[in-house]
Amino acid sequence: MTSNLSRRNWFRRCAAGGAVSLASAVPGVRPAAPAVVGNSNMSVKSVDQIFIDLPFKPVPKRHQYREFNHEQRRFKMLYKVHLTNGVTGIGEGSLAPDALKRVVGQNAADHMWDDSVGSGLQIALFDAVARTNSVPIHRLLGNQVRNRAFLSWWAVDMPGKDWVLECKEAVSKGYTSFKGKARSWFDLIDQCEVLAPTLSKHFKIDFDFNSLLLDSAHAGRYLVELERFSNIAIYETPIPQEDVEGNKLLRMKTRIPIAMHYGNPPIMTALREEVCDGFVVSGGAKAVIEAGTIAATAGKSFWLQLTGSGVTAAWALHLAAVLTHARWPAINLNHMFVSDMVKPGLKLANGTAAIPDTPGLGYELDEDAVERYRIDRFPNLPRPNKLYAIRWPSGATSYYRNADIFRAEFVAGKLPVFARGVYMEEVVNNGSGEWKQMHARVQGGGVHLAGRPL
Amino acid sequence: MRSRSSRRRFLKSAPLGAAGVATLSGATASVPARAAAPAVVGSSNTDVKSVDRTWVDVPFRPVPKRHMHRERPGWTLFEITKVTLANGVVGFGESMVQYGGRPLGDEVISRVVGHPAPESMWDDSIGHGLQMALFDAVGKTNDVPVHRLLGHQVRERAFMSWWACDQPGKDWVIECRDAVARGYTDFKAKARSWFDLFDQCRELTPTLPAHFKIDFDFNSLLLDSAHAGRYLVGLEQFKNLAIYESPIPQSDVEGNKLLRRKTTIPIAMHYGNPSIMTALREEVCDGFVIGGGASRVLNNGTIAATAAKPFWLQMVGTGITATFSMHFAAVLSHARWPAVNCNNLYEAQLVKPAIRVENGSAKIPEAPGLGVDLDEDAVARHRIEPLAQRREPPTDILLAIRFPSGATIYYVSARQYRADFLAGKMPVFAAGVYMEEIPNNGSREWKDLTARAQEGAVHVGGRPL
Repeated sequence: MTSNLSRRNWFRRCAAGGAVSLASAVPGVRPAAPAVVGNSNMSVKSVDQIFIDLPFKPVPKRHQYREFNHEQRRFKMLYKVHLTNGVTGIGEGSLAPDALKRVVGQNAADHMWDDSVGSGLQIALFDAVARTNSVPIHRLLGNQVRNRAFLSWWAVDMPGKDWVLECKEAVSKGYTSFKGKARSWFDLIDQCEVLAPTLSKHFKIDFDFNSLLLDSAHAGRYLVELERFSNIAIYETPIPQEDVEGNKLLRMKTRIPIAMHYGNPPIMTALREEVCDGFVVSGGAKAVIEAGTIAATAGKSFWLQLTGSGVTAAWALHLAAVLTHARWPAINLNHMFVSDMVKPGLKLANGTAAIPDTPGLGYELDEDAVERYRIDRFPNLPRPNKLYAIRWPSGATSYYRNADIFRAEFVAGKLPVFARGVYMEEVVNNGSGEWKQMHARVQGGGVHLAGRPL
Repeated sequence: MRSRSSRRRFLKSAPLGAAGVATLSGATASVPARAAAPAVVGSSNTDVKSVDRTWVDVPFRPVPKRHMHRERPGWTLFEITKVTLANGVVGFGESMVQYGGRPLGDEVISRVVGHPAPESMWDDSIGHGLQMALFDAVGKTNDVPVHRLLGHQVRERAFMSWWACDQPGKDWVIECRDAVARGYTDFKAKARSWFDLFDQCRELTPTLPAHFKIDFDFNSLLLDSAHAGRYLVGLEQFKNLAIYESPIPQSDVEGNKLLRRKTTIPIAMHYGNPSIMTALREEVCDGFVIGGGASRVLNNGTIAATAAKPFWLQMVGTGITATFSMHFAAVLSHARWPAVNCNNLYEAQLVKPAIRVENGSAKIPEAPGLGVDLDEDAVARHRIEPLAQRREPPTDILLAIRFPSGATIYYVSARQYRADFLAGKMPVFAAGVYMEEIPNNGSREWKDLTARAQEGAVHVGGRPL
């Protein structure tokens, strides 16, 4: 709801001079006069949009492209909000189609709590308002409850040896938590057997199954079996979240806490039925504060999941500052990229980063990096169209052209669920007729063969 | 948790003005700690320069004055807090020092002075008056109404209720007539076992238009579901009744669940007792009473909304607090029941312009800060020196509870008889009961009875006085 109000109209009609003349100009609205004394003139003058193609680091690069949405993560939209008072706020993320029309020419503080403007613009508005007021953003969000925020490393599904490389880097950068995608096309127990021995005891692993264990009948024994890897700390969405009874049963079977995305099932059902131990919380400022408040009231920890570059990670730190139950390490993904896009880069120790107490986000945009990775517009990339083989322990192989397709088949229950010995690999085009023929066949869907011709 | 940060040291060491900005910006690239430099460009210097405290004693209007002295004589005492920022902006707030609030201590002031106002505005522990004043000052500095700092606006007008304590039905009639004349459509009152609520309703409701609603706060005086069930259902005959608050102790989860099934009138409870997750899981009530500091009110309002429970904002004071409350209503979707601010009790509102209620709601201010001015003339008129002691109810009065059997029980304070009713020592909402104050007629009987009642309830078969 935007206020095109007498206050605003009054200011428009008034000269930019002293409080006295303003007050006398419109006696009926004199209450507003004192504001002029310290008026910070936070009208949004202009908003710059900057398109960025931010390269993945080598290990993520090897795996992010298989799923369309994962590859899209390299494209970032940055914003600079310029206020009339000379302050510039920065942000990263989405922008609602009509947001600029709504915000430009208006007071930045009028819109900072409006999630509908899009997360990128919202962050920049908060940054600008906080800088104007010479306070860190978290002072605008609520009462500070912590000085340091928990952060997690994150990786998609990949062979155990690449998770080892990722975790080695995570440890070297001060992380103590790693969240990975648990996928039915890799043998998770094999992956853990490769990874876990390389980790120190205090380093924790969280697995996001994205429902791929399908139901409690498949999930129960499997989740309990995984408990032997003592680094495992949290399971996320092992089976569909709307399966209330199934999730309640799993919580009773396993000692490892189960997390769910906030909102499915409806939060009051989730809380009344005690379907999970904690949540994944994301969204705009209002949504995150609200969800974090509810979770705290119910005594549920949560991950803040706000993904992007260091700009978004910095924003997440401010939210963590005011949310008591942001006790699980935040998922920000900024570590996947060759640059944090902010200066100074985020620094961790003992799994946490200091919450900025300088004005605004507390970080500046790395303008050199912006110039380096700036593009004119986002490309319209096609869906991945390669050749992937899922190797079954029976000797059979299933071929697909991209991960979105084989993932859908696993989710639909058309393939074995977390089979021992299974793995997935890309079959590189060797120029052979067999490859071309198979590639042509997978255009029509999965191809299932008893052996491994390729 | 306060940030005595590098930012502060940095700002202190930084030169002021545009030239300084250029220098600082130049340094940004090489010195990480100076990352904050651009903020100085438009800095509005919200550092708190000083905090002033003024006490006022705002008289009750005539009808409240006749009854508030029995239990709440201190409700006329307020501490007005004024915060002056380094940028010259002045914010103000108030604290009802004997209900919900407390006088502002020097220690709290020392925590706030010298720091940016936004640093402390979300800290409920600083007290209502100072918190209000900080929000007002920050809103004014940023040229936005307070509600823009609290969240995303969901309504433009806030529902507000008239309020009255327990009194004979004829005085409620006068109060409701005033309420209607001033644009209110809701009235919340104390339902008490020492008045016959049916009699009161029979006297009051014929004077009300059909759309005017009455809410009754029993403060647990119906004791248990066995006493409450039939009584609450019986009251449903009065069509103006809209909400029952705390008919029996809130901790009685099963009792309250049963009452919800028996009556068609929604039951409200103070948020937090039983613990909110128990209240929601067990569905003990239809809605809540929410009050407290800014962080708490937003927190509780968010939870209530998630559980689809409407609530009253109960933030009590003069027009200052009522205005602050409206900013919360602006951003809380389930502030759907009319706020209980009690500002209707007083002769002065302490704000200009005064709040105007129409059709049961008032326009949420859109001018910067609270959106209203402090009525300095009224403050000067009612100013007093701070009181060192609480103002307690008088004990040199004689209060008689007349039972329909002809018996009378005498007390010298409402606290005494309220405690006896709550303890289940007296009949529960007996038909025909009423309470009256016996003026001192200078007689020996009056003195004797008063002296005896100082020690506790005096039960007499008849009515000697």
